[in-house]
Amino acid sequence: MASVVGIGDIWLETNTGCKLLLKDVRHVPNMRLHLISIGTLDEEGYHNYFGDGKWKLSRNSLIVAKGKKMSLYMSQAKVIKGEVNAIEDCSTDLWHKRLGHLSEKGLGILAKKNYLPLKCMNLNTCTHCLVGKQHRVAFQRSPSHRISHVLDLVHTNVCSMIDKSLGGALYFVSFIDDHSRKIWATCLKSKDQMLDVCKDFHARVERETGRKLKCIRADNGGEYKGPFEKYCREHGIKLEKTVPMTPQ
Amino acid sequence: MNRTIVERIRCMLSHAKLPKSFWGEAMKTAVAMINLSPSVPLEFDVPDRVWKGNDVSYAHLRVFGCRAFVHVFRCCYPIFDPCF
Repeated sequence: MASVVGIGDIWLETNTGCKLLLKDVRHVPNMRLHLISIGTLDEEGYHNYFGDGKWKLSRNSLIVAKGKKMSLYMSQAKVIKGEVNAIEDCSTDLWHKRLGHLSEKGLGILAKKNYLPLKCMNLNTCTHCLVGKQHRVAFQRSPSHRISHVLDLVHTNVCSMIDKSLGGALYFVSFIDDHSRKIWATCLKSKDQMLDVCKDFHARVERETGRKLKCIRADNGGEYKGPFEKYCREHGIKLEKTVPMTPQ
Repeated sequence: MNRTIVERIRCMLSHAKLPKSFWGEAMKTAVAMINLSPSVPLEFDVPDRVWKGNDVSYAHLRVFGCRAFVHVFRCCYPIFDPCF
C-alpha cells in the first residue's frame, strides 16, 4: 500500500526541450514510475494525441512532449524546479574536490580500477571548474562592417618565426587590405626593416590601384613606433593602434 | 591572419618534407593561395578577384614542393668510396 507523503508543483523539462508545469503533484516514495494525469493536463489546455504507438502532448501548435508506448506511454523528462527531498550520494563531488577538481572521466577510470569507493558517477556542475576553464571572450562577430573601397584601411602585423629561413629572415610582416581581404607578406631579417617594407608596399599598391592609402591599423608593437609613425604622418596616413593586450 | 598563414606554412612544409628553413618560400605560396581562396568576410568571394575586379585563374597551380637532385661537383666525388 503506497501513501502520499506530499503535494507540490513541479517544473519539468520535457524531451522536446519545453517546460511543463505539473500542478498538485503527489509524492509517493514507493512508486517506481512517475505517472502524469492526462485529464489534468487537458484541463490546463493541453491536447493529447495517442496513435501509432506514440503519444504527443501539444499546446496550440507547439509540441510540448513526446512519448512511446511500452506498456504504458513513456516519456523522458527532467525536473528543473521543485522540492526534491532525497539523500544524494555526494561522494563523487567530494572526490572531485579532493583530487584537485579531476574530471568526471578521470574519476570514472579510478572508480573502475577500484581505487575509489564510488557508486554513482553523477558529478554536479562545479562552478569552480567552470571558472577555471573559462577563457577570454570570443571575437565578436561584427555584422560584416566593411570599408567600401580598396586601400581605405590596411591591417598590418608582424609575426616572428622560430627558425631562420634560407635567406636568414626571422620575421614576416603581413598587410591585409580590409575591402578585398587580399594579403601581402614579406620576410624580414629584423624588425627595423619594417619601415622600408612598408614604403615599398605603399608605393606599389598606390601605383597598382591608383588609389591612395588612407589608414593603417596595427598593434602596439615596437616596429610601429618612432620612424614608422613619422612616415605615416608625413604621408598623411592615419595610423590606428588597437587597444593593448586585446587581440579581439 | 598570421595564425592562418603559419598553419598553412606548417602544412606545406610537412607535406613537401622540407626543412623549416624553407618557410619563406612556403609563406609566399601560402599568401598567394589565401588570396585565391574564398573568404568568409567577403561572403565567400575571392580576395584577388575583389582586388583586381576581374576573374582569377587557377590553371597555373601545382602542388607545393618537388623532387630535386643535388649536383655534386666532379672534384668533390668521393672517389675512394665504393660505387653504388
